[in-house]
Amino acid sequence: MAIIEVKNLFKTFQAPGGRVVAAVDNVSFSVEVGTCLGIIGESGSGKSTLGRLLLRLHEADSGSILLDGQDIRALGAAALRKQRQHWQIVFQEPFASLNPRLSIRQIVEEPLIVARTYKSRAEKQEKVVRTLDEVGLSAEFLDRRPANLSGGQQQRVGIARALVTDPAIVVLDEPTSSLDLTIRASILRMLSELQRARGLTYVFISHDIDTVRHFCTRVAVMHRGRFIEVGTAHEVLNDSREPYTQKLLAAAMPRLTYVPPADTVGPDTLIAPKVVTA
Amino acid sequence: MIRYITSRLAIAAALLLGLMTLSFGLVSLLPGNPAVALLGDYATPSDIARINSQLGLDKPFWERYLDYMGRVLRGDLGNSFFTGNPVAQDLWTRLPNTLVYLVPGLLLALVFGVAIGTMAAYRSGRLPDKTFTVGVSVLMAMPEFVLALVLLFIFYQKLHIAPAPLGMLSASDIPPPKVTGSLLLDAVIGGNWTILASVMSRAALPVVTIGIFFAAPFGKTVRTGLLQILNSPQIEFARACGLRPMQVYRYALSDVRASLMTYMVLLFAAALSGSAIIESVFSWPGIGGWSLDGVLKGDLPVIQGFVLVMGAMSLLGYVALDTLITLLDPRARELAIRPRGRRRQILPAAAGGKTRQNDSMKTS
Repeated sequence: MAIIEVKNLFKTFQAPGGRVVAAVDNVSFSVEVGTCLGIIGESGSGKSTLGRLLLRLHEADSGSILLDGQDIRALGAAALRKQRQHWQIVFQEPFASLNPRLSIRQIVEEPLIVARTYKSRAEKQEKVVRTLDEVGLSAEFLDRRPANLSGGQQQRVGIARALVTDPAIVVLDEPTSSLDLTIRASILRMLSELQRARGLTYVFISHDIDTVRHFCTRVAVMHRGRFIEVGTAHEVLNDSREPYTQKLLAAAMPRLTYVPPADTVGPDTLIAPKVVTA
Repeated sequence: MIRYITSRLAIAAALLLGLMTLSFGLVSLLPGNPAVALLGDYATPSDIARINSQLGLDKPFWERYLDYMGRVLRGDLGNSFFTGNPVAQDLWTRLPNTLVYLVPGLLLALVFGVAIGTMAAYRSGRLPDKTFTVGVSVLMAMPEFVLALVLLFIFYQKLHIAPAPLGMLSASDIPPPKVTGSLLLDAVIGGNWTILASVMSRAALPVVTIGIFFAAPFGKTVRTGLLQILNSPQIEFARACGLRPMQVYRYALSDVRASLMTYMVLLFAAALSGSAIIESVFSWPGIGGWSLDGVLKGDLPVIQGFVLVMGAMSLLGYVALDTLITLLDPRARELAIRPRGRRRQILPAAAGGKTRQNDSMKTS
């Protein structure tokens, strides 16, 4: 069953000088429940804009977005706010996306307070602690502030607050790009486990082809606001006929060809990928 | 926290002693002889010598300095060379007159500035923002007294809704009985509300002048700060988790709060020392016109007293500012309260907060 259905989505921006730039140009796709759609493309291809349109953080010009069968472009402001607990987003820069004045507890419980899905304070507290535990942070972090956490820990907080309202859909906008390699692997592994345990649907926006290859079921290639192609990760990243995709893959420096060991395909293989330079 | 505040106060006191020394030293270096100013150009040398010894100006520098410091510490700021009035008493009666329009004016500027800055940031690039930018540029290029005269022209000359710029009271107002010497305090003590209302109606134009004039820097700070924060992932997430727009705005504004408060104190000091201009335009019997008079005549005790009191008020403002920022910003608070040994590890984050604040001060 498709949980995300996007049809003929358009979004233009007015560039300085009166030029009109099509950030998202007639994009249609759907995502099945519990899968992950990877969106790759170079900077400025419109992939982040697409992620924000999907959650109505920006308003699309035209087209339809159905999340769980509901046309979110038709929702009024109050109804939209109420529905937001079901779809969340994780940003690229963890520190910039956390309010530096709030404690970790306040940051994580804020979406819960907006959604009002708890009956007592104890229940709220328990939910916060449990979610932090799921992302690998102990309760001792509750009263710290973002500035006292490492980049990886900050991103775990970013993920915890996205998951605390039990959303069905999570947009991951380059969640690991600003992290170093070892932390990146452990965060991706954690996201993968969370997806399996909670049956989450991910839209994974990235320019890192290798990450997308391991993480996503299906992959879309975006260029100048358009989808060049959509297919399974294998189809798009190994057997693509599209010249642009081939160019994009070729441009990934250094050119890496991943040879997965047949028996260990899974998130764990990210820790020590066998890399063959072509 | 209390230790932090006391340490700040101690630093302020030390700075004040330094300021006293500096003002005394600089004033002594001023060219011109007060005795000549007092007696006129045709005074005989013996008259000048007599006045000099009367005023104590014939004593050596160090003696005068120690004498001055000792007197100031006892609360005696000396007497004006010209009127003979004790400077401390003049300050005491005139300072409330200045504060009565200055403080409301700055508060008005804050409210007005935050309002227009917010509008410009939320509608950035569109008409309200462009109007704002032009308006702020005009205001910043315009001297304060021009704005005051324009307002006088509109509201007094043309619309006849403002009283004439002839001081705090009209001729028909009967001043309250003297208790403290300060007209405003006496009016409050005596419950003389009609006098107070009369003063307030006369203070309206000065208040509006300051409110509009200083709204420009506030508005600019708010617009720049909000633009930056409104496009940050932090605010995007606040929206994404469904916070009400008002709450989102509150979060965004808390990011600008520290630089706003810094501006408030800076502008308070600036407005105090610039009060001479407004007070000349409105014939206001405040501290500004009085000190301007003192400077023009070379009235040393008046100049020294003015510098001292302005310095003390500015320093107090800074102590209050530091304390408030520390209380409101958890990062600065941790830095201030934590024992010395653990400071280093949290320094980077707090230092980041501090530099940003300093930057915003520099952009003024």
